[in-house]
Amino acid sequence: MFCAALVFLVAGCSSYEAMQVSGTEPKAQLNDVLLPAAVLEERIGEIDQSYEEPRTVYRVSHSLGTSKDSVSSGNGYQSLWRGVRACSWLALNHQNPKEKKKYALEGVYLGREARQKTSLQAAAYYYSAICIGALLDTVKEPNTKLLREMKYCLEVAHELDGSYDHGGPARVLGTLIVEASDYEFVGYSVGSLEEGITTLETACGKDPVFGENWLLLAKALTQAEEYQRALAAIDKIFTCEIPSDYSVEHKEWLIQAQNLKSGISIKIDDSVPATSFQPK
Amino acid sequence: MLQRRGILLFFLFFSPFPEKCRGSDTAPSLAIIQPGRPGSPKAAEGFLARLGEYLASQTKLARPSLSYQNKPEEALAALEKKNPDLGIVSLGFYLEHRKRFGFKAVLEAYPLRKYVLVASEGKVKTASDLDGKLVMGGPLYEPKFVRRILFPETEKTAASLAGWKGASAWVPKPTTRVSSALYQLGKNRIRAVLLYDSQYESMKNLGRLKKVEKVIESSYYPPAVIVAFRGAFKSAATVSEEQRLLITALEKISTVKDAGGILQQMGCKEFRGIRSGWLSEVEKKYHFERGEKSEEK
Repeated sequence: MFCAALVFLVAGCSSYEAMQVSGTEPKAQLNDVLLPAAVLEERIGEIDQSYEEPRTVYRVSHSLGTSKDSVSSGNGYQSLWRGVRACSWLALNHQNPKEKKKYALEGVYLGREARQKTSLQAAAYYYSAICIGALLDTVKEPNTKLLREMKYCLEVAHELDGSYDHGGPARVLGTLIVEASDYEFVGYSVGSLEEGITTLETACGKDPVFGENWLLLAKALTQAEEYQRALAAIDKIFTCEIPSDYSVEHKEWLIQAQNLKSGISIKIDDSVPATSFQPK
Repeated sequence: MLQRRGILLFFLFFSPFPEKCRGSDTAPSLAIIQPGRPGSPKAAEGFLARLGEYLASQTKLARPSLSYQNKPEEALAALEKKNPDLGIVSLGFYLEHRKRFGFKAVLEAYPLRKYVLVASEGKVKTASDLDGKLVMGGPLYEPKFVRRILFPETEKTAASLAGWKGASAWVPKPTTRVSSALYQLGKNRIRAVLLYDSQYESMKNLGRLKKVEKVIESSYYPPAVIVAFRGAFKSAATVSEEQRLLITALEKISTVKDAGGILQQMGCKEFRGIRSGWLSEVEKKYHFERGEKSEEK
């Protein structure tokens, strides 16, 4: 789900650097609430419950609101990354572009807070990176600083817990590398196509039964014209389990996989090189 | 009274403003085709928004409708449906389709740039090493342009390659993705990749050209040409008022504060007038070299 947005993430990451992402750090008020431990624990349960499937804007907004109202040293600031998680979902799934940007900005801000307060939790870095990606997607302009921050977050998340969100850090990082591989400017380069494929293979290794890992690998391999390997990756998707936390998205991945397979079949048919230059 | 009605009817049926001279409430249009920058149509969204805003503010016309196509076949399909007022197109695209769509070249992007052919170290020592071999790159969407203009038999800059005989024997494989081309080269599936000189330099700086060497390079050419779609004006030398306003706005873009980013995204520093005599010489070379007069469309 999150990686789908990465296709658009680096939109505009070509050569323009002057754009400033103004208001990246809105001055949201996060008060350290003083509540009994039992209440805080109950709140964490409520936050997670609101984020469970089926996710809707209303339910995830509730998860976000409760997260922000439950920021406390009493629960080890565990609501902070959950707020970032809600922001990331809303920034990617809201229908209104203005709302998307608002949630992305809020997620970037909360993410930085979460990384400070819970610096050893992969989730804080992971969802923070996704919010940065969503922000870049909404502004449709490149920003070296944000791209670097995103890459850094994903690398740290991978170090802390590479299997988080079904191999999410490597999955998102690999997709970022692949999508940005055509950009030839040092500021926007995060790696080559080959490095992107390798990173996506790492994600598949972290969770071999998660469909999106294989789907994104198949797409990258298609881009590299590794059609047989791409078809093998697609076949893996159809054998994957339906994840309880991504059951809605899983159906979409299957459709995409089928379409990709059809597209590859056409490409294999057309893979006979173009006609050579006409003789004189 | 009757006379007044007559005047009204005259204006009703015989508009003094021809169709091309629209009011400022009708948006002009601009097509960007194969410019090489800023990448994919998706990547160009932000760029198009900025360019549209700039043109609207400078011309006082409605915000132009902008399109961006990297693949010639998609661009041609769109042009078949509707001709825009103005286009920013690659030199190869201009040469191949100028007659078909009535292009009038008005500006060229500057600075000029070279095209560079790269191959894995030691793989291409003589021109015959490229015979019948796959060569990938964006410019190869216009193979005639590569063969006749960039790398003809007579290209002096390419003559450094032993046995140089032109690009006729290459097998072109066009792609918009440099990363994919370099990946194929690394896997030894293709013999060479054709890059713009800026791509070559930056890929080198990024360390993506390890064990890859420059084989030949072309002379200098403008990376893009701005053309007016003449439509009704096909037989005349003139351009419409909207076209003139858009051309003027593009010509002075490098002097407008805050518009530099648009040029930066296109990988150039300014748009300037076509050099006298240069383009007609290239056109002549493109269509008449080797006696291919019949290719004039």
